[in-house]
Amino acid sequence: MKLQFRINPVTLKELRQLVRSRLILWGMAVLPIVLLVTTAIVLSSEMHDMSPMEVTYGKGLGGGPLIAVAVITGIVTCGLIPLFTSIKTAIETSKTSLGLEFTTALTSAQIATGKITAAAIISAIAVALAMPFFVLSYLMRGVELVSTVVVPLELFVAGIVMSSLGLLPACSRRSIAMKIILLVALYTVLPIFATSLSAFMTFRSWHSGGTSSSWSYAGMFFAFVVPLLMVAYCRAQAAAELAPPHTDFARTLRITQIVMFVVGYPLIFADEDPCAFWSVMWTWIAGMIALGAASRPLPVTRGAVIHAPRSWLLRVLAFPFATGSMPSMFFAFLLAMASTSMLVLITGSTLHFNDTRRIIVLICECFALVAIAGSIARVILDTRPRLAKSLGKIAAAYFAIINGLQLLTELDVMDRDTLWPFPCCIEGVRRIPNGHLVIAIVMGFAAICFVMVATREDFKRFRKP
Amino acid sequence: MKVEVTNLVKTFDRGFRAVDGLSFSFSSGEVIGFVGPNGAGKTTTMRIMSTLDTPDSGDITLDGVSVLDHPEQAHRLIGFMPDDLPSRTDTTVDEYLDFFARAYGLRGAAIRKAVEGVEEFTGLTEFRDRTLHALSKGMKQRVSLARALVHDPAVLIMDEPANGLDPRARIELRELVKALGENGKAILISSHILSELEEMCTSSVIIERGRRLNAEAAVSAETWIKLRFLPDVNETALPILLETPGVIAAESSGNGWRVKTASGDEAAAALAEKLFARKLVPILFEPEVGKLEDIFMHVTKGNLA
Repeated sequence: MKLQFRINPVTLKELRQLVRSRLILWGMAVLPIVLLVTTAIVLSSEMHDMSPMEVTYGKGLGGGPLIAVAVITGIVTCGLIPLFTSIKTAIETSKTSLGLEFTTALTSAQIATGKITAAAIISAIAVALAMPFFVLSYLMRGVELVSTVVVPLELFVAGIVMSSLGLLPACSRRSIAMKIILLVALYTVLPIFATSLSAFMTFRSWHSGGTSSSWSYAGMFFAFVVPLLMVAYCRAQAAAELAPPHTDFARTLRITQIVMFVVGYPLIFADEDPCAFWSVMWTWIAGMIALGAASRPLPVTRGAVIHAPRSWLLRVLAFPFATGSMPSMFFAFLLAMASTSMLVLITGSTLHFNDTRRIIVLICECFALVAIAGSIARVILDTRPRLAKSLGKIAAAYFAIINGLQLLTELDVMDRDTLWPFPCCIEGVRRIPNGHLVIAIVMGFAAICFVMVATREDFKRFRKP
Repeated sequence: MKVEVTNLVKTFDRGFRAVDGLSFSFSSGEVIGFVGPNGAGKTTTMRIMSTLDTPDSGDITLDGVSVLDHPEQAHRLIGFMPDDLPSRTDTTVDEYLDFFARAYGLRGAAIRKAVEGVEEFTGLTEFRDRTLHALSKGMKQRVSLARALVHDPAVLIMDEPANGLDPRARIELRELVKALGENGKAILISSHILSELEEMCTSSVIIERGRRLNAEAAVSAETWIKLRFLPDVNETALPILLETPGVIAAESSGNGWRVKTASGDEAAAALAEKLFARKLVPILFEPEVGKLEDIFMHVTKGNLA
């Protein structure tokens, strides 16, 4: 069998255009010079600050330069490159030229993938240009070898995530001016919030025991799994935005949501501190689904219409699960929030209205639960009746197992720490409050950006014909 | 390949009906002129045919296969040439065509073969390394045509291809379209330049306010025939023409004559016979079977949407 490798045509096209861009070429030429000058300045400063004793005992240098090189490379991979590629995409999607790509065999998902891949390759080149300076930090005996690998890798992954996030406003159906305003806001404000995630990192170490050789599950999850899931989600969302008629744009999106949930959920139990991880997971999933819900409404599927209950009241209650539009999502959220609040009151928790951090996580959990349940319901309703029954049973079994495990974890926490008899995720917030706040703010800010992009159109569509 | 458009309806915001129950069909080897005033629904129809838009009702089939139900099959069979031209500063002609060849699913050596083939057909070989931005409008139009042809579609849909072209570029485009029709492609082409369409189209579809107009009724009653005789006869031909049975009217036209007669091949043959009987032998005898401009003006009311 002949193995044939087929490069995504969009990636190839984007790369051809990017290498022809003077801005990119000049940027790549200037980056090593900037890094060289910065490294020299920081090194000389470090040497100047060393005491005679440290010089005598040969104290290593390089910690400072590593941070300086990482910051500059981070600005390039997480800010400038995503901004440039996203503005380029925004301009392209505003013209009719992109429509021609939909008369070909290309799908909107392939177009989104191609754009993300091209941005990733350019980011990889930028990181590669910075690699000698990372290695130099190691050679000066200031940092461990693993840091010279992990830091550039994380910068590269973060760059891909930022490029993917930029696709959302770039592919939305707004004017070019609004898209550029949103992109500039995204790439200036979001990195500031993302940098403040370090508060979370200091509160809960990314590496167990402080050594980078042994990663905790949470550390691995947030360093690599979360970014990859975010990229997958943004890709699906952008593909949904770009999708031409005749395609079920929402299908990929729903499947991505479910994969995020199915993959991420069980990882909670693998962590040494399930409650803390659980609550962070919920905050994150809720944020991602809020982004999705804010970006574009999902039409009510044919399957949902067929299965719609006869009773008016039941139909009203079931409707949020049949559409992902903003108004129905908020309705579902209020519904879930009310029932969860009741549950918390009944269990006699110590939750108070002024306990903002815990309330944020509770809200996020409700939102995520409703949204993911809606997605699963839609996938089941979209399939044939016999298959729908089987899928429904599998979903029910999965939820039963997961929730059983959740109950066991709750009991375990209550057993160990009897002073805190409230849901495990709230216990998690108590343990890492700053981390939750930062994630909630980052996700909230991004969601507000995308609500600005899409809400008006959503409301127009969400009207009786 | 038979393309059938059946009862197509498309309504936009505020209830504006751009296409209103439009039906027509055409087959391989036919070049169909798609004519109508601005806002008649031509571009909307073409976009629906190219899967870039969806109708409210109706269907478009290619040999019985619905474009709406199987857009992926339609993509392989249809080449769409929109009215806007490619213009990028960072892409060469060759790269542009290479991208679309890949996007249509061509692989390996087939990509180069297809790209070089359409470059040669459209006369772009010597411009292949130029950026799109640096090309003239006529050349950009050729690039657009090459892009639509790169996957060798059976059906070609061209939206205002001659728009803004100079006379030479128009003639060249006309020859390309004729050649494509002769190669067996089914072509739907819209244009406001009716004389151009008349020369390259085998028939035409006239629409107004999204509805097809009955052009056949407009030309069924009578038709004009162009005539020219040898110079010595030509100048004295008018009285004889007017006296000839079957001739309704006659007028000079350039260096010859136009006579109005009953429409149809039989009427034309009868006229020729009568002219020969009167020793009036024409060196040009060309029936103007429904001049498109006349038909257009006759059937359309100038209603703008």
